Amino acid sequence: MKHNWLTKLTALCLLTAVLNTSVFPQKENILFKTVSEELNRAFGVLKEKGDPPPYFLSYRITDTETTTINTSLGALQSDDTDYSRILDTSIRVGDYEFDNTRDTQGMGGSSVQLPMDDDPYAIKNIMWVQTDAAYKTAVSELRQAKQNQETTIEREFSAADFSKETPQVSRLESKSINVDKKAWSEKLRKYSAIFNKYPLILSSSVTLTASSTNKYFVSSEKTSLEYGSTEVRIGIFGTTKADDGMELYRYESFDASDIEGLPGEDKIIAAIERVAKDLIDLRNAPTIEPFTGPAILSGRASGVFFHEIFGHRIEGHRQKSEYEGNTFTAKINQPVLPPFFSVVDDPTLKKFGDTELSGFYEFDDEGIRSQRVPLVQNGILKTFLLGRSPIKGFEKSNGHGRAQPGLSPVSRQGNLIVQASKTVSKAQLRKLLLDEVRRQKKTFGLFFDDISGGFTNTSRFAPQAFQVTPIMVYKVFPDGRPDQLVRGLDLIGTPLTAFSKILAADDTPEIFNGVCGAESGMVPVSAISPGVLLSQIEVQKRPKSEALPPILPPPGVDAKVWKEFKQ
Amino acid sequence: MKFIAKIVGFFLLFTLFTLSALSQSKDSGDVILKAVQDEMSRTMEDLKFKEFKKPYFVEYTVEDEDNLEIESKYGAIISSKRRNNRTLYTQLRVGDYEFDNIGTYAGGFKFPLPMAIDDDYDSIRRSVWFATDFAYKLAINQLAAREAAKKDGEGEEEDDEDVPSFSKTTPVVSIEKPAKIEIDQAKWEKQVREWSKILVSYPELRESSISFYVRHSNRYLINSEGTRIVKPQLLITLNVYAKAVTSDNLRLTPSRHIYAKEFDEFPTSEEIDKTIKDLATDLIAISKAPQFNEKYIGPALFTDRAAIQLFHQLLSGNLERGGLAERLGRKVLPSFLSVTDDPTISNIGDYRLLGDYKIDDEGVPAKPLKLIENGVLKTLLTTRTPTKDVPESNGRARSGGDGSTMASISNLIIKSSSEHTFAELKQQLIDACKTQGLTYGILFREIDSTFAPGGGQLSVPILAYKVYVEDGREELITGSSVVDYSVRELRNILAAGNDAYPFSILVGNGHQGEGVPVSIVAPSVLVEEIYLRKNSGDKESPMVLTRP
Repeated sequence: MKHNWLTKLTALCLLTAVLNTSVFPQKENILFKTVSEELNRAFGVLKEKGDPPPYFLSYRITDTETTTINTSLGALQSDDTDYSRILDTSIRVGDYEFDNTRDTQGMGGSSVQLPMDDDPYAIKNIMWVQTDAAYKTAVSELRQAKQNQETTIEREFSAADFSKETPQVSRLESKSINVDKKAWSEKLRKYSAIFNKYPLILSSSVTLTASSTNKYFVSSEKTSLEYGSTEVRIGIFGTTKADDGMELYRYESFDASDIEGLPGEDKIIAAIERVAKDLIDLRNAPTIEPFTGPAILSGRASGVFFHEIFGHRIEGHRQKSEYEGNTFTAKINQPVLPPFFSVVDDPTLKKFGDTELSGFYEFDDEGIRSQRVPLVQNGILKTFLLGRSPIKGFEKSNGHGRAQPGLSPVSRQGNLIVQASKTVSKAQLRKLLLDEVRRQKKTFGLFFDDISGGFTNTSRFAPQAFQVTPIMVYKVFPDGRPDQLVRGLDLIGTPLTAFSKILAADDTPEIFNGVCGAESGMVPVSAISPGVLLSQIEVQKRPKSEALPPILPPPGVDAKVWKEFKQ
Repeated sequence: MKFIAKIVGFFLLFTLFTLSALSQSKDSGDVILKAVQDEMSRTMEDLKFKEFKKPYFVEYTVEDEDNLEIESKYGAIISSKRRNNRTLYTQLRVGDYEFDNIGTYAGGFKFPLPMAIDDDYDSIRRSVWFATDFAYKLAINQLAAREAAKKDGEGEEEDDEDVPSFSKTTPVVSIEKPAKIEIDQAKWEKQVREWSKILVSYPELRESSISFYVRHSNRYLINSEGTRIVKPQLLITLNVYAKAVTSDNLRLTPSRHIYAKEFDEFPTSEEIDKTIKDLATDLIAISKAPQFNEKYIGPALFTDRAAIQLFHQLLSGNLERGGLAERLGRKVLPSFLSVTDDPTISNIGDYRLLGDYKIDDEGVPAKPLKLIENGVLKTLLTTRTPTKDVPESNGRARSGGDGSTMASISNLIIKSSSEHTFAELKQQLIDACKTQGLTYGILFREIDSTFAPGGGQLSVPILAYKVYVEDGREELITGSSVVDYSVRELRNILAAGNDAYPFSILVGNGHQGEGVPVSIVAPSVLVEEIYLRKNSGDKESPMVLTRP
């Protein structure tokens, strides 16, 4: 299952010129130099002594410092700074055609914490133990893979295990971020105290997260990279309960690449008030019975819809697995979407309009420079998202091998951008929806405004289904009644059917910045799409809690107010 | 009328508090105590759902922690974290002392909830409200389930059928001033780095690490019976780990642990240097010693850290319900051994014992206990969860800081009435071997304290020796393992010494410096029979990559 969860955790990224100060130039150089030296030494020794010798060795280091300040109802809940420096070792035995990753597809990985101290002796010793262990694992994986090859049926979509690439060399300055903890604690206390006005909101928080990430990548192919980024986020979270027990939550966030990029106080306070109001409205909103009929997905909802049903299915490594659904594997140069749709994945894009994009990166986690990849042109599938695991006819990476620290990279999305060449205005799209409602003789259609995320299954062992988890959904009536907010539903379907129901797109692309989870862990992504009209969608009931609301009112809250919660 | 009075009272308190908070004159202790107590009063008066019973007992523990964790490897700091957090643990009981929702599940469930680190009355009280509501709903469900199970004759173990759920005790009020600690993080990082560097000068060690933890907590215990305790707790831990691999590919991972409850009781840097060097030299000696490839069945002498671990691993965890409870009034040791657990003493000779405390973590005062007299088990370590034979708590409920309590030893003193010197015991070992036609006997000076396997197994010997019958010489051996050794074997102790080795242990997650500090004092003992064979479990293949 691939989870694109949580909410709009926006943008890892974008280092403005102001932040491009090299903060620990000497410090970082020692680490980089040490790792490079040890790479050469270890690869040299293993080449000579190893049986079989490795043909590839790489070290990826992710150095992160994160400050989190969490407040609730005017009080500081936690204030922590975490520092980590994770070393991921990738070692390959065999050859580019057939190596130890044949059966594992690089799943898992070998990682260890490196010292905070730039102490070459300690760093090298830790690398030594780690590399030796990774080498032994690789040797036994290769033995197993060869044995499996002899004793199993030849695979349908077999290809080489590792692509040959041009080495990349780039040294960018390292990044750091400074947070005035005292001032921010004070601000956040004030922001979070706003929720005190809403006794029916059961829990709430306002959190600042600021992090800097510096990455280093060196390989035996002579790739040598050093680059960094910073990220700041203010998250606003609130929960309540409907009378039927359903847990309701709302999350809003502001993201920027530095503190200065955050919005002003007015905007933050307005967002908190909006979260509170939406929660109270949701509490009072009716639920909806399972329904099938026409619907509009807002740009953000469509973005997640395409991320799940399309994006995860054109990830390269899935095309060569016998366990995967292979929905699009044999569809190259064939229509997969209406002819007025094109899709690209472009991690080189830092901004879309004024908004910074989470899925931006300069190099992927296999040390390959990111690339703009036109996936679908005028409805025709052209290529896949590729890391260094080649597939037949697509022998090179296109810079999409991604992973969180501690896991091995596989091909993943960056900034998935859905474009429509034939569009209508938002008002016209709504009119088309109502026409479709009348044509199908339905009493209403649905408008999916905001969503929190979604997930899909791409394996053959379960249905090729997807789910998008909406938060704000409205019934839209053809008889002129105002739109009605509803709660408690999930949008579900299967990819090929869903694609065949797309009727039209609007002219206003929207951005979903989030975090996507799959076998190589959590990576920041964006999905951009215009709003889309579908002739038919299906919604199902969302599971709900049977737990009662709190029995006594919160301390200081009038029992009368609390009566609103049915016991 | 009464109802109105209560409401007025409540708002008055509230207003008064707001004023005092503004003047910022209260310290954390006052704010936390007041917030918890105020919400506890409301819970006991008003919390009731439909026809279900009200709680009869509620207990809150607040751990207000300020921790430092420094980890190092090969002379470099891997991580160094200073953390400030507060956690609220709630235990709520519905029913009555005879039969409630928790019953004899030792410790009971304590729902943890992170709490504001600001001294914010409203926020702390809200956390108490939230946790209590959760705990109450859980409790009424648990009680219904237990009542149904009892009706159907299921659930409880047979022995616990008529045992009450919870014992009564006299409330205790003991308010100490919450402490703040000053820790110079950079200074300690420098110090840990230096200690870690010592191990770097021993190239025979394949890996090594040193970790240092300062765990400070102002612990609050407040219950609806009237107990109110505020107590600052400090525990400083240094763990030293080293690894070597023998030519037979056997992995050796001994460790040393240093604990203190006050900074000025922590050993000097020079003493620690020595501990670290001793570990390294011991380990190198062991790694070069001959591999034990035989099978030995015969007598063995345990002394020093080996005697401590023998009693710790086999006895100290069995002195509570479930363990040796069935043998109450029966012989569990030879008649020349007696065992006392004494939380009221803090020294034995020059040695600072770590198991001392006045009131346990359920608010029960602790007294010395004669557990085993002349080999006969007299009583058990108990908490407020009664056992069949010992219905009342003797103040042994201890918490390692994670909210849960367990029955634990404090300072366990094993005393021998026999007056043998170590030399005499060694001679007895040799004599016993002669009688059995053995050419050597076994002497243990250290058994691994890193990992206690439990389940009737002793952890691996670190310092084990063959003692040759012919001339009494000791020869260090490596790679041995004691098989099938359980608490029953302690009855087969042949003789004990007039010596007394003190040693401290952290029961719980000692690797992270979390747990209950206890001490054990034990003499050398000669046991009738052990089965020693080659340790074939801890293998590690040789490195292909040479060392940098």
